[in-house]
Amino acid sequence: MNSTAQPLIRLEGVTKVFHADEVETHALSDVHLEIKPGEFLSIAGPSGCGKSTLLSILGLLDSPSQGNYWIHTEAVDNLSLSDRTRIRNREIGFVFQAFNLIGDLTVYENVELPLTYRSMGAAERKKRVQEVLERVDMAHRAKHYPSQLSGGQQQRVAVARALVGQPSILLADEPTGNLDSKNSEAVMGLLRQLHADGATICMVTHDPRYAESADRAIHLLDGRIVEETQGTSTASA
Amino acid sequence: MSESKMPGEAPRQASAASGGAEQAKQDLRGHGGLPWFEALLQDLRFGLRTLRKNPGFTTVAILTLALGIGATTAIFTVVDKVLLQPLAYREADRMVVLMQTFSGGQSPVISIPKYMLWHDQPRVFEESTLYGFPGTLRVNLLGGDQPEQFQATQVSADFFSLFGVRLVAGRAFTAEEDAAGGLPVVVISSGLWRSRFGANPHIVGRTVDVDGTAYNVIGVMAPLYTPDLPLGDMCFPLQADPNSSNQGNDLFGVARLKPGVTLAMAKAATQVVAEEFRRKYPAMMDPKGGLTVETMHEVRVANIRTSLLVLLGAVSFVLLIACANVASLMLARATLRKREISIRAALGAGRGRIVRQLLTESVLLSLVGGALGLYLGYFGVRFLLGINPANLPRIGEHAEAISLDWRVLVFTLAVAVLTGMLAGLIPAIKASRTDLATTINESGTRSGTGLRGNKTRSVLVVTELAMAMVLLVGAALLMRTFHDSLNVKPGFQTHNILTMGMALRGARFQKTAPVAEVVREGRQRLESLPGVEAAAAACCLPLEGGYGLPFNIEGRPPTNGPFTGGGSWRSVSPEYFEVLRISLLRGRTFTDRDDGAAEPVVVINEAMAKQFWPKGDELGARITIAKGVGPQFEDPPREIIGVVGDVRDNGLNYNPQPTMYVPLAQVNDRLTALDATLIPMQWLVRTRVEPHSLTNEIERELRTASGGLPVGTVQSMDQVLAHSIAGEQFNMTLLTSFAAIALFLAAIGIYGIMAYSVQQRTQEIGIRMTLGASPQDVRWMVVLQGMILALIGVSLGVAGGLALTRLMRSLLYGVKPWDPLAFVLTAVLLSAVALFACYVPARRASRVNPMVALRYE
Ligand SMILES: Nc1ncnc2c1ncn2[C@@H]1O[C@H](COP(=O)(O)OP(=O)(O)O)[C@@H](O)[C@H]1O
Ligand SMILES: [Mg+2]
Repeated sequence: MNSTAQPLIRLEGVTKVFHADEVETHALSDVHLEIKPGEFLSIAGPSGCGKSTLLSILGLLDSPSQGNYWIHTEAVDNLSLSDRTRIRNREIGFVFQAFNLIGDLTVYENVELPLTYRSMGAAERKKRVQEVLERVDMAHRAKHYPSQLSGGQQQRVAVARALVGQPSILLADEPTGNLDSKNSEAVMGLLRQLHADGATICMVTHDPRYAESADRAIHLLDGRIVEETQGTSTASA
Repeated sequence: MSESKMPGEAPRQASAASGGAEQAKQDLRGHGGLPWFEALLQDLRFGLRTLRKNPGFTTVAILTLALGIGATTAIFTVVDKVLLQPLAYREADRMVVLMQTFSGGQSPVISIPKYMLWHDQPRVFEESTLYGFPGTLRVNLLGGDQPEQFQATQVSADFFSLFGVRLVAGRAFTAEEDAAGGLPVVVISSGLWRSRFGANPHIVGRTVDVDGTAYNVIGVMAPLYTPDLPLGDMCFPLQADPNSSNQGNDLFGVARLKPGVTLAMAKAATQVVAEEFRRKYPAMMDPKGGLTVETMHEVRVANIRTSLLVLLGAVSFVLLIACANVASLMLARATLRKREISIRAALGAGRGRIVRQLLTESVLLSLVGGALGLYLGYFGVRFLLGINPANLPRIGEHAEAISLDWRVLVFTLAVAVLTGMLAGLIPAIKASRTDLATTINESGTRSGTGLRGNKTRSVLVVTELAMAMVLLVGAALLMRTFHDSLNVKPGFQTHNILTMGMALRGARFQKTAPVAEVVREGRQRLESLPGVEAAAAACCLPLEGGYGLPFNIEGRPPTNGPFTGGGSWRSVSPEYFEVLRISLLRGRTFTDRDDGAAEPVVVINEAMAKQFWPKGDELGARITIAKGVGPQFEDPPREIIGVVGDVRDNGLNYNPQPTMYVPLAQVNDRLTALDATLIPMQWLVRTRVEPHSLTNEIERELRTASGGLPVGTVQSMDQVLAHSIAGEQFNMTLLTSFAAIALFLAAIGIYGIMAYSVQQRTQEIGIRMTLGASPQDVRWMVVLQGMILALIGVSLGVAGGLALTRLMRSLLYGVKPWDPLAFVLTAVLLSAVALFACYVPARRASRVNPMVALRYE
């Protein structure tokens, strides 16, 4: 890891407050965070501490109540809806706990989806989808529907879908949360491999074993970063 | 009680004592005595509670059903009264009407000679009668403060017995009284008896002064028959001469078939009469024509049937659309209720029981909707017909015969129950098929692209749209017809003309000269009134039909039987063309000098000139009208002195016929007298102000001019025009309303399915957004999906429209059933409405918070 490199992502003083039923929830309080290119960051913490909220802000699904957010060097907290959509489509790949594949679309179509939201020729799309499906070892299931796959396979397809747009960062929210240990291990293996190949990953996880795969782990409690530890990753450059 | 000793009792007790299984089975079926009824009560209770708990769903469903059932009830009340209910005559199903046929159709108006040859067939007919147009005859009742005008009818002696008209006092005419030259007698209505004679019990035997003759009142009619038989207030014996050679077709001949005689047999017998008539009067029957009979019912309703059936078809579409909408709503709700239903099933409710529960709910909804619909529909149609009776037969002048009877109630109840069943059946069956296991532990990949799981609803919505499209096309065609009618140039100017009828009858008016004198005097007096521009009189009003007579052109051989041609015949005073602003094309119109002493003249219309004098050399030619039609029509050769523009005398939707205008003062005396037994003479007054504002002054001047005679049926020419297209207007108004309801319901339908689909797809839409779908992408996706349904519906609707609008061809004028403009415009309208209905949920979809993708419940 090159400590002098420009951070890919920089959060400064980010606060998120939800107002629901006249109750204020401080989901995030004064969060400072930098993620460098090629870094593998894990986020841990008890349920309700704000992990998903942090991820959704990082993924431009939501904007902070206060604070600033830069991707590369571009301030993204004040962008228009369409700019945020474009950046989300190009810079960010999502992997969810519940896989979130679309049941009526085939594996191929699911993976192709992010590319259909940019203007890209069919041939180029096909090439990319096939490449990425091979990379997660799911090319042979391209015509299957999600319901015909195991959980682990579904999650590998979801990872492929996150990667197909060649995003700058992969955001994963408890990607192993719905998987048994064998499948979890397979998915983590895939993420580690991607990281080894240079991908930047930010992953929310409960499981301390998987948190260790990361270069760096942060712990959240009640919306604050309370602890930061350097992991034992071998992939530092 | 001795029951326990009955022989059948012992085994049953034994089995109950020995077998618990039997007991359990009975428990499952229900509870003892009233399993069916108790289960129903339970279903009802639960159904009511469910509906109360979902006020939004319940309200929308009830209103939808109320619109559908209301429209159906509205049309049914009319169809029932006009088409279905038997005529209120004695044994009406065996009554037949003598018809003359000709190349262009058939008509129930016949002449005395035709009737005389036809009616006396004891093997076929039980009894028969000959009578004049009911209620069109006007007479003046004298002897009060002032003469009063009344509607009356001339009938032959057997009329009352044949139609079953009851008399509350006195008797009907005898054959002697009905014989030509018989004594003056009259049967009066109970209405007149009450209003004019204070219901005097000794009225029979008294005389009344009608048009200067003392008539002996011999009977009083029961107040029974107004809508089906509008006889007016007095019935006079027709006193037709059986040997009359008057070939004028201005009477009705009706007979009752003997029991066992079929219509076909009567037609065959009438066919024989036609040949006999042709031998006897070869000149008086169209070579392609003849005589036939039709049932009384057919004659009364034939003209109106198509339009009522089209409207009935239209409301059944509206009802089906409402049904589909409610079914779709219930399907959506059944998905939400899956859990409840599977729990019920898990607790042992059979499929039948679940289906019944859901059907109970939908029938409940539709009963409430039906009650509301009954109210809306019945009062709606009464209101509509009250404003515009639409020239519908059998309903009375102000639709008073349209009533809320048990037939309407039973019909509405039946429709409501059927609608409820229909709307509830598919959802009930689908819901009862719910697979327990998948519902109770529902999980896994739930996110679908929406409509795939809503196939049934999609089909329902497409059907709705297609049916709405058909209705819209039908409405557009009628609108174009109506619009075209309004744009047709009637050939005269309708504004600022007041018209009224005057009965010039009695000894004083048996000749033409005194009639012409009243007209001359009346015109002078009217034209001196401030506000009156010109005045005229005529036998009949434009747009209301008139007489048809043949003619021969001097120096030309007959080409059409013994005649050169035929056309419409109208007697008019000077100024007639000026009052109506009918354009003079060539020659001159009539003046006061064209009287009985002057050279006989005639003015023809352009249609006649073009057809018979294509070179334009008609002026100076001479024609003889109605040669040999009978002494009443005896007419000298007349010189054509002018050609005027065509007038749509038979109605806006009828092309102008060749027309002969004859000076009123030159009509032969007997024809003048005959006219007065058919319809009253018409005054036409062109005013400079709102015509009705002069009614009193005009009436006063005309009383003075006529020696005290009143006028009746005072109406402006604009009203005459409106009346002439009232039927078209009624059809158009109703079909347009139904199409609007259909459009509205179809819009709700497509909105409903798209809104529901968006709600179901929230998660999926969120996922798409996390992957970079922009709000526009999402909006477009939803709109596209909805519009695919809409376009399928529109296409099917176009196909359906092409197939169905042919059925309404006879209601259309100036527009083809496949009129491209109507189809294109309605397709665009329906698509635009569908687009709007999809856009609302699409916008909601585009506002889905993508964070839902991160939430995992
Ligand atoms: N849209 C929202 N409205 C209101 N409160 C929310 C919303 N999203 C999250 N929260 C609240 O914010 C806190 C953090 O939630 P979340 O980030 O989902 O926690 P985690 O992912 O760590 O379990 C919780 O208390 C949650 O209830
Ligand atoms: Mg979370």
